[in-house]
Amino acid sequence: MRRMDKGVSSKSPRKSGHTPFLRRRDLVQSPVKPPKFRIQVKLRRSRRGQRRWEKSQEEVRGEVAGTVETKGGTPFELLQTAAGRQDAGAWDSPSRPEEALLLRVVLPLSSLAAPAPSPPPLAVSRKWSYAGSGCRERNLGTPGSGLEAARPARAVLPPARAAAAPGVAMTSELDIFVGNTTLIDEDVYRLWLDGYSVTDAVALRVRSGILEQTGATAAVLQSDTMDHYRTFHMLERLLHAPPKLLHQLIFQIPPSRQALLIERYYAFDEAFVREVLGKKLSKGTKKDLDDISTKTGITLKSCRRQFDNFKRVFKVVEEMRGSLVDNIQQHFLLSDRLARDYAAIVFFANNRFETGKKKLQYLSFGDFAFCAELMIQNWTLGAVDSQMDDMDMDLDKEFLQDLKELKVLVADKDLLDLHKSLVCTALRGKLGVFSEMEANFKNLSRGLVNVAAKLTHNKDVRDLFVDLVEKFVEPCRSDHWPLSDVRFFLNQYSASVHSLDGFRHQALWDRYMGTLRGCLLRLYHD
Amino acid sequence: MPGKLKVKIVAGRHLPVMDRASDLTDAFVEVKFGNTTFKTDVYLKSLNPQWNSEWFKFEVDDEDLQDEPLQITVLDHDTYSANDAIGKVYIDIDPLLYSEAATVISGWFPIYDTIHGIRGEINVVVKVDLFNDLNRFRQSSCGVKFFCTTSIPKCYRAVIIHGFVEELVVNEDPEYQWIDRIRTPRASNEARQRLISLMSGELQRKIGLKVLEMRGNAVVGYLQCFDLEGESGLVVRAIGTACTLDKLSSPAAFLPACNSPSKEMKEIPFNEDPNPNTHSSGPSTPLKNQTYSFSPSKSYSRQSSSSDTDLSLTPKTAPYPQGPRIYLCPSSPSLSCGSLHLKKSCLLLSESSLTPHHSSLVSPVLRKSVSFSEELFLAASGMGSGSAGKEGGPFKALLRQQTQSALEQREFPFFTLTAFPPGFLVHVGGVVSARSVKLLDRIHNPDEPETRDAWWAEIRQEIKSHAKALGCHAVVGYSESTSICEEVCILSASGTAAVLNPRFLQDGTVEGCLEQRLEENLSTRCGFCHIPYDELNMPFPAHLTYCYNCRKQKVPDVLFTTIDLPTDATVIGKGCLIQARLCRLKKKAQAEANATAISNLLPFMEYEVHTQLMNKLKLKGMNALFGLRIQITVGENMLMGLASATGVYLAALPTPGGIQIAGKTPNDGSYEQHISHMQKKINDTIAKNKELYEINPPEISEEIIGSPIPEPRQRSRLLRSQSESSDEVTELDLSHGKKDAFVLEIDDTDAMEDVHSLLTDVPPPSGFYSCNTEIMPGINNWTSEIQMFTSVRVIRLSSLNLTNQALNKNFNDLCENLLKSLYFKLRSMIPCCLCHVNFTVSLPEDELIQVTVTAVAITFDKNQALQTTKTPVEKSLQRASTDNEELLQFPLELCSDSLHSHPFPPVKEHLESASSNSGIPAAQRDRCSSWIELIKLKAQTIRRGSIKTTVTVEKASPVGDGNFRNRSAPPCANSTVGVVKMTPLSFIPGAKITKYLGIINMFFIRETTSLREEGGVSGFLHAFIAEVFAMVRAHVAALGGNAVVSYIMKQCVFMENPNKNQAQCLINVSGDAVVFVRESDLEVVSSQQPTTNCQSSCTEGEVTT
Repeated sequence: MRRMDKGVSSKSPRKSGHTPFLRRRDLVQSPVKPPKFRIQVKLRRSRRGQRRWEKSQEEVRGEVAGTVETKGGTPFELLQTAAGRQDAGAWDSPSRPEEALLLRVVLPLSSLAAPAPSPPPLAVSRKWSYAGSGCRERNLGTPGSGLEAARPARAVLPPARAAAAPGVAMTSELDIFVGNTTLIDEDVYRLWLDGYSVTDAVALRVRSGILEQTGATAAVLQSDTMDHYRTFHMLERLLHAPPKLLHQLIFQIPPSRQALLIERYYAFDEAFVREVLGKKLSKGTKKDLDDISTKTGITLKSCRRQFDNFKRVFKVVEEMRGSLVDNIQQHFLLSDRLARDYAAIVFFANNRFETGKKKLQYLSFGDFAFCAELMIQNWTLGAVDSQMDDMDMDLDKEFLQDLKELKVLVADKDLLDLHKSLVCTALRGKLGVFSEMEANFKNLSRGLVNVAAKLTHNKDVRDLFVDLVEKFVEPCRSDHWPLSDVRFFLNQYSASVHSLDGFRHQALWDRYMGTLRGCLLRLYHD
Repeated sequence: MPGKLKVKIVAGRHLPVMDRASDLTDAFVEVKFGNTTFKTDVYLKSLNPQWNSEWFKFEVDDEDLQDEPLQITVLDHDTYSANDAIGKVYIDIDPLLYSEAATVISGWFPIYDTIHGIRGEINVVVKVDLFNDLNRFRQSSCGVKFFCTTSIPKCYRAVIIHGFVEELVVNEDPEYQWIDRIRTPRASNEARQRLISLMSGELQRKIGLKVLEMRGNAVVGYLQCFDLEGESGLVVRAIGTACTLDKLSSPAAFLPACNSPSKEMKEIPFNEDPNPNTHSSGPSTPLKNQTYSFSPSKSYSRQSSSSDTDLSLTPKTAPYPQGPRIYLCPSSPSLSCGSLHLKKSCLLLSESSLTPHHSSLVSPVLRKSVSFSEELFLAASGMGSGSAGKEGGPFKALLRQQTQSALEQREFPFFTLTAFPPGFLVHVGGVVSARSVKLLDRIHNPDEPETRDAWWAEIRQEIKSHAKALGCHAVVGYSESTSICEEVCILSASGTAAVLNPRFLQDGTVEGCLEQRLEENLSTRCGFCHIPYDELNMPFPAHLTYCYNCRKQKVPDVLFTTIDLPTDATVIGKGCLIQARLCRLKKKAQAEANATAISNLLPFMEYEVHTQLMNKLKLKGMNALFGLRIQITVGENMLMGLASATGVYLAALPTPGGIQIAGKTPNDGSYEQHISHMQKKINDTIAKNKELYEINPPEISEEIIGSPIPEPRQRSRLLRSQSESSDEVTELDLSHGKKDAFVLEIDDTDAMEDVHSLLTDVPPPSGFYSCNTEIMPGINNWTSEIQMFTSVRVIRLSSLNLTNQALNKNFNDLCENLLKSLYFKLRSMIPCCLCHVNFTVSLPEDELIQVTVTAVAITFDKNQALQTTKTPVEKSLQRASTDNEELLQFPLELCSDSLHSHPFPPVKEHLESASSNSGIPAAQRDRCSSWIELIKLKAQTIRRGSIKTTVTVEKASPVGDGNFRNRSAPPCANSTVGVVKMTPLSFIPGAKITKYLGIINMFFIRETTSLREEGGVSGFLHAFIAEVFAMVRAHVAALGGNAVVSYIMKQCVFMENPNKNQAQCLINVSGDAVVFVRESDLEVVSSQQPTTNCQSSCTEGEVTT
């Protein structure tokens, strides 16, 4: 503490109090001179706000030449009493002769003209917020998030103080618990992940009946929650790079718990992911998070965490070779299922598929993830060449170019008719909605093929799902096709192309239709 | 003389970004030892550099090896400006200096910076080639083992317990040097850390020298403390118990690695004393306890036949003394101040005034025990306390006399141990303690710490005389502590007066006579409770009854001790944590006035703390306290007293009486009613507690026991017996008149408060037990789950209307809330017991109270508990019938024999699976192989054949095992961090400690100038403590260990300045690094063991401490 005051010119009086040796020597060297004494202003102990104040006193010290000892009175009175005692030799202590020259003074604050700033508030107590800010965040290279996040924490203050001990004159300044094995309470972790402030978390825990079960008090609960929040806050840095969590030495966490921490941290809310799926993971989107928060009822903090997770995963695997799922699993140690979900999210974000349109609202994240997986497996660069960069992220441009060739299926009238007759022959009697199918065949086929032909343009790629729903799902649904009929139809529709003699792009068609068939079947529901 | 230290820097990981432009770091490493520095190449642009350096070799004296830490600094290379420090690693290479411990330190160390905390990790390999040094002039003491554990370490056997060793070194605190005004906080912190590291190295070396002189080879119960005296300097002091230990597995006694003590003996004391002037430094006559010493070392000392250095007192020939002996009468009549639960505060101001009644017994000892000045002593020996002595018959000595004389020879017959080999402890007298208030002044010459030494010598002398008053010749469970506030310092020492069995104090070959054995067998179960003092000539009034166990000897009605519960003691029910908490306001004052004020308050504090303890003990329906630790902390405007102990019901002691309440105000109807209501409440609580702690003592009618001696008058005095002078006793007697045994008088509001506070202590929730001793009495079926933790709380008192009551209430609430919090946090471990609960109170500022708790939660099996209630009795019977050492060695022999029948297959498989596991990091494999090498070496010397070796190999791979378990969890399969357990206990439940790797003693400073950003004070300290744990674990893992036992956080000094956004914290921790093997793993080896005998005794060895 003492050293921390360094830099301020005034030293604590105790420090300067240690020159007695010097003075004593002076005395010996010049016995003629009467001993000089000096005022030593002993303050109530310099702390906090008193620092400035003390500085002003030091000037006083320089001016008065004499030593003073008292417990009250004006400086001049003090001076006199001290001098008197000095003469009387009452303060000559045989054991410590040097003490005789140095008398400590306690000056009342008011006796000095120095402007005394009001003493620091007693209940300075909790200054800190869970979200932290500045320094730590800077280290992570994610500026900004800290300051914003500090907001909810402020709400913590009043109850914290109230809970400390109502009616008792004490406040808890510091309260920590550190275990050799880091304690992790799953319930509190969930509350933290859900973005609740400590106050809310405590309230929720109280409601869960934990007090009755354990016989604890609200203050205990408060302290426990704070502790966990602090731990999670410290762990968060490591959770951003899960392999670090495994190798770090600061927290000793059993492997099963580590897995749980990571898995839960990277878990996301269905409602949230539907909102951002296919959007660019940029600052702009991040700014819209409060809208999403209000819309979905998920706390802003939780939204931010989920968004940052998406973005972080995206950034890490963006330029990586090899399988997308494997990369995610390796760098974030996620379970297989969660890694697949993240692959889908990354894939959608990279290709910016539109998913927010009203007509797509009926689709779940699972539907999109299923489609994404099919597309990654068949339509990306990685599907053909496993050594390319970005292989699983970007669609195979060549393949998209080639898809134009499919246009012949609808452009060539003969081919279209032949195709239709093949399908109709095969499906006659097997389809409940045969007549509707027959009537709509050209439209449907045209729709599907046109979707393929348009995929060279980025914009049309983005609208892929909108187009699919508009061109295929909606017409079928309006005719009340059962799912089984759709399956029959699509199977036959894609298979019969092989019998078209004039059509040469069989492989291309299979690559396109194989995936599209799977997607459409998944997309076809209410 | 020389040793060669070899260091290799392998790699770094998770380094911080030092170059903002590239987000990378150009790191290199400086390796410094003593004055030599080596550097690695700069590894450009990486956060995970791979230096893979050559071996840096330092050729150094072994003295330096002991003193200096290896200093590794990681820096960021900067072409244009100065290189930025990333952080440092200090490695204490002491564990490499004795043959049985680690051979290599290798592993990942956190890179620590005092401003930023841990910043990445570095992989380092350290080896030492030590040449054997037979130079008799040497100053080093390599080879002496140090243990923090306060019992004989698990895999050793005590051949001789030599006794007390102490040492103290002082220096200026770098924080208070002038240079501190111009250097950065970081430089200042680092200077401090380095200095303390150096000082503790030096201290350890010096103590080691003393041990070698006593012909010991180890220090057990090593307790090292720092006194941050501010401007007056920095004191590092240590106490311990010198022993000759013998590795249990080896048939022959292990002598110290570099022993030729008899030759060195001549010169070492001379060299030891850096300043020849010491002779004259003790101006007064130093105290002498005996005229002649019988140790063989005597003949080597230079001029005369007298020597009172406590280190030359190995009483090898004690039973056959060559000269006349002098020993003190057990209870000297002049001592009226002693009491069973002796609370003494001696107020020594400015080294001058000794309280008069002491001076008759104790003359000030102003000399360090190491230094010697023969001529003076000869003169002095006639006077001093020896005057009360008489000559003992040299032959045919009774047990007691024998021991007594053996111990009397020592300057300080103290033992820092709290648990003893069975049979060692004969009788226990009670707690003895002494306190002294001192004014700190600047230490003029760091080489000559004689003032501080004299202070402690005084206190120890007083403790010794107290013990003598209790008819005891030794003090066990001894510890020392200080509390400093500004210039005032309270020195405290406490221990338990005891009578010891001389067998362990001498060479193992010297056999005690037959009677001795007999007596031992008779008294093992209850013997230690029997009074050591003369019944007719009691040093204080006490209430004695015949022992409820053997009915032959007298026992007191309550027993307070600072030691752990002896393993053979019969306990009824379970124990519990009992705390007395007290605050007293004090006027702010300076220097001497302050010291006087404190001195005046101390006796009252002690008195009240003691009363509180006694009342709470009664309320729990128990009759003995173990592990008593009274801490008195001084602050600017208050004094705090906190006493913690574990209450138990000893079967040998009488049933405690209840508590009666008496009102002073006569004939007030409502008042009477109130009192009777209160009385009822208290009675209910006692009944409830008895049920809770399962205390159902067998009913014994009074007639059988024999009539108790006491009269009511004495009984009442017992409660109030702490007061010092006889005047006070009478005074108290007047006020407590003819009341019955434990009467609480409600004559004022104070007393009312007391009674209320008695009832406010909430028992722990069901499924929880707590104690501050090693293990909970009455629970012996521990399961393997342990959780060590540290909890810190600081509260701010409002300064407005502070009264003693409000203060007490606040403090009480603080402690109670803290305990409640702990119970809540650990609720997932139920049923469990908080063991070794260690509270530390400090008063960092005017209105701040800081409480630090370290403890371990251990789970136990509730179902088994019900069945095993009888075991303690059986166990003790078993013990009584078998020779103890044999019992201890037995299981090991059996295990090895059993391997003859199934020698290799299981072991081999295990090893194969270990090595085939591709996941083992290279470093670890290295470690394993080096173990194997070591073990092979040992096998040759041991001549035991290969069987034994395989056992040890199996035992030596626990780290690997731990990792397999880690790996089994799927997604985190490639974790390289081995689990390191930490515990304040000396054992690990459900596991066997196979090897001690050395002492861990670390000191850290952390400072921040961005307190708010780091999460405020709580966030800052939370992170720091977590970092300290991490660094301890990393060091243990690097030594090849997988646990720290006897872990203790000795200091946690926290200071903050929120206005400047600053905070600083100092933490000192220590413990023993060990390798343990799970018992379940052991069973794989000896799985088909037919004899249950082995296993049962194995487990017994584990549980007992």
